[in-house]
Amino acid sequence: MATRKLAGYWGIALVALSSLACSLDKSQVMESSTSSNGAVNRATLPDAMQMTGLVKMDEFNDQASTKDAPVQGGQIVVAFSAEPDTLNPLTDNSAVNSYINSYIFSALLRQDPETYEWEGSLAERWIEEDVVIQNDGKKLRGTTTYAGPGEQGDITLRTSAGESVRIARGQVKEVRKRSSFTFFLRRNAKFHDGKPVTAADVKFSYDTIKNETVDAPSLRNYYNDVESCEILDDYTVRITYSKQYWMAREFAGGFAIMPRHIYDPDGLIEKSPEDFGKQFNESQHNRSSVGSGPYQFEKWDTGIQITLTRNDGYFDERRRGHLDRLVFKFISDPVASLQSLKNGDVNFLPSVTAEQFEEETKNPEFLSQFAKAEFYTPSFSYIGWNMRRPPFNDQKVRQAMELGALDRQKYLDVIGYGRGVVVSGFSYYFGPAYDHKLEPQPFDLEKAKQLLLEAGWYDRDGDGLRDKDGKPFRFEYLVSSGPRMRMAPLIKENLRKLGIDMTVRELEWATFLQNVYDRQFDAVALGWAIALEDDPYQIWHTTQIENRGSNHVGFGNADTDRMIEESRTMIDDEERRKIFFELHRIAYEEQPYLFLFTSPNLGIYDKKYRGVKLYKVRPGYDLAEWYLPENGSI
Amino acid sequence: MKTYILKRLMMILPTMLGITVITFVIIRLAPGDPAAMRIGSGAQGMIRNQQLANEIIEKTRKEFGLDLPIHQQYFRWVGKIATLDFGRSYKDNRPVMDKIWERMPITLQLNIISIILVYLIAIPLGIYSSTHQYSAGDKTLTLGLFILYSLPSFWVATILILFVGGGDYFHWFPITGISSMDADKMSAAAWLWDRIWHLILPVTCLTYGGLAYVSRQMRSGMLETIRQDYIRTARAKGLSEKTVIYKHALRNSLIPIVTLLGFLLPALLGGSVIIESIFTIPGMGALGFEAILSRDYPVVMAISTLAAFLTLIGLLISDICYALVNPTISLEAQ
Repeated sequence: MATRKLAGYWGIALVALSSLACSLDKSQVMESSTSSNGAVNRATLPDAMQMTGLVKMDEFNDQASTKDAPVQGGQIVVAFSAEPDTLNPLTDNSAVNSYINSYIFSALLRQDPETYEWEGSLAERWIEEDVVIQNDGKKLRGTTTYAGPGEQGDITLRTSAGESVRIARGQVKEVRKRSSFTFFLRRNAKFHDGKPVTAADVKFSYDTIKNETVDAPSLRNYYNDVESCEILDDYTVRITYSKQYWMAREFAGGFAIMPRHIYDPDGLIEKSPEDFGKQFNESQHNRSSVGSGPYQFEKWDTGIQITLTRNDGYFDERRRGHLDRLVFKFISDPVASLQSLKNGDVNFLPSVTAEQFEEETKNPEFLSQFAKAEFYTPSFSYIGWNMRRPPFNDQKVRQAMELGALDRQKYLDVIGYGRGVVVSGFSYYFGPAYDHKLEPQPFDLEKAKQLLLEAGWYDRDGDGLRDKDGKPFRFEYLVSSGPRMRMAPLIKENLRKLGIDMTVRELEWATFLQNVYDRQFDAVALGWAIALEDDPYQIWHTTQIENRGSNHVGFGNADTDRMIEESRTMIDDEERRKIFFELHRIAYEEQPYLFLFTSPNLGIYDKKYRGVKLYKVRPGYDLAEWYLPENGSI
Repeated sequence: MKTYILKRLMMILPTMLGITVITFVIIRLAPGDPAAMRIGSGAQGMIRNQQLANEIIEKTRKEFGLDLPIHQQYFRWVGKIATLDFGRSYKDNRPVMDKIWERMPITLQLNIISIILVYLIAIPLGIYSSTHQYSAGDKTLTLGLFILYSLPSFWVATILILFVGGGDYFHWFPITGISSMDADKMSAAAWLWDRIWHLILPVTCLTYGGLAYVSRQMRSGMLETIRQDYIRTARAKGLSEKTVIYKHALRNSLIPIVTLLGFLLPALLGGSVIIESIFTIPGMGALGFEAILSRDYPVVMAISTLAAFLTLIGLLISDICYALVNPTISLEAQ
């Protein structure tokens, strides 16, 4: 029932940090890893879907006017459907956790939710350098330029001090571009207890992630390729990667900085790492976090709500909160949460059902008090075909499924109230790595029949079912209890017209997952919460096929693997996206998934709040920007 | 009597062991792997290196003791229970008993109030029904109670939330939690009033269904008693009808009702999954339900052990009560 729902949102401030961690939400979205940086390729997007540029403030609120100046004061109550287990940003990777922690903690960098550019948060500035490794093992840092074209010839290295060194090509063993990050911390940044944030805290947080006993294995995995984290002085830290990786900046600058004096008062981390790990996992501060973010922890009424209060000493004046308190209430029952909004107990519901959004909230009285907001965050849903075994080991059969299993557009129009877009690939529809030239195939039963025939599936024995090699076309559709079940009868009906018998197997979430891990399915309905620009390695590389990896359908070959591996080291956005486009095309032809939709989040909030901006990156809003206008009137 | 109680108490131990073995096996047989679930539900998904992912899972399994054969896991668990150590929750690393203690008072409040209400309302109704057997009043009452009995509580709860929880209709009652947001700053009286206000809807939902059962028990018990010879004697010697009913008949017909109380003990702690979820009440029901969904074995085992223990104690108490209220029943002979 409702308790499995997680809000499915990441914090804005900690986009990278949060995106490292993952969790499945009620709509059964699997979180993928990465979020991205860089500009967006405008040319490929339809006009109405331009991604960059400023997000309109108070877009959904007709009562807002430019005269409402931000003032301090007031509070907001936000309802989530699930409660986090702890408030430790490193060991708990649920969506709600990262969302709430995005106000309590800050990282070295943050990604601007409008421009997607990275900017300093705890770091006042930072420099990114290439690392040149010489044959004698000596490492040099700086910006490299090549004497010859195509990165040939001798290398000139300009160090941050402004010196230039010319290194003969023959002496160079390896060049790792953009793999050294030096962060200069703000001098005025303080934790909520008033102690300054120093390089030692950054190093401590990094060491905590790397500590084997600490309960953060999935986060730790992202720091495997980090070679070192060094304290250069009290306010300067350098993180160096051992490999070139296009997402290095995001991971190096994206983790939550935790106060060492709170989480390790006895300095155990060096003396006895194992004891430290245990102590950290069980820390009392897992339920009363201390960070350096715009809001600080006030109290946690277990099972009911978490309250944060504004941190007036927050280091970044531009991002200091306006509201005095943020209250996160946990209401698992959707009826009760909408009702709480109506009766004023709750001011903002970030996620309601399509029915609630359309049907239960349409009277004029309601609309005069509440704003309904539709906003996208990166995700998509799909039906995965088990490519290891018949019938879905045949590309033609999978293509036939795309044509004949479900009229996706019609489904969106009727069931989804016309909200959302049909997608043709695994990159975020509104992101830079999605090739809009590849349009989803329209529903066409005749073409589907033709393809099935070509694949050798036709009714030989006259029982009404197609068959091949003496076996009728029967398969099992694995789905977890919840909204995604709705699609099942429609697909079953369409497939029956194609002479295919589909049985639906509906399972409770934990059991469902077990079946996916064990590859016990023919077809499976799922979704991924992804990043603006995602690293396809996790979902599509063949190393992820075995051992419960995310490539549960069994996609890939040596070529796609090579492309994926190459893309990881490409720090040039254009070059890398060419590969992503190519991978998109391959997936489009191979149809490992029947790609379904990217659907918007449907949120409702009280119109008395102003300064509301809804972004296209998770979680889609930043409550630190919201305020109540001076006169208080609506 | 003493020997009997002693014997029964000694029987509890092997029974408990039996129950825990079965619970332990059943929960382990359910598919789902807490180790895999814990490293994130997208889980290994997150992990680029598959080998590493499996190492992590194996390590977690080891930490939880899930790598041992199931009987060894069970003995380890029993060994800890003997020292009253229920372990730590897989989800947040807190001691299981802390989590239970935190939620127990809330569930107790809800259930004690609703049980008292059930008895307070159902007993008079039962008496009325039996003394006015087959009258229009009896029939209406019976019909009414059975209608209530058959209304599913999740439906009633939703209807109540929609109609008296604010929004488009009446805003009479709060619908989430058990206190207002700033309850800790209220005066004692205001706090109490606020708490009562919050409890009205959930208690209503927990109460109405039980009325039919207890009042029918009361009615039939009473009818049987009224037919007894000693009641006829009482009437014959000229006692007023009131004295006959309330002094002689009522006392005797309460015996089965009293013994029912013993069975209520585990129900007191069990909590109601549905009502707690709908009204956002952080009680034992919600805790147990979430623990099952996330395969949080230590929590599931602690709750079910506690429930089993209370059931056994409850059974014992009801047997003893039975002997106490009716001295003709001899436990020794059994």
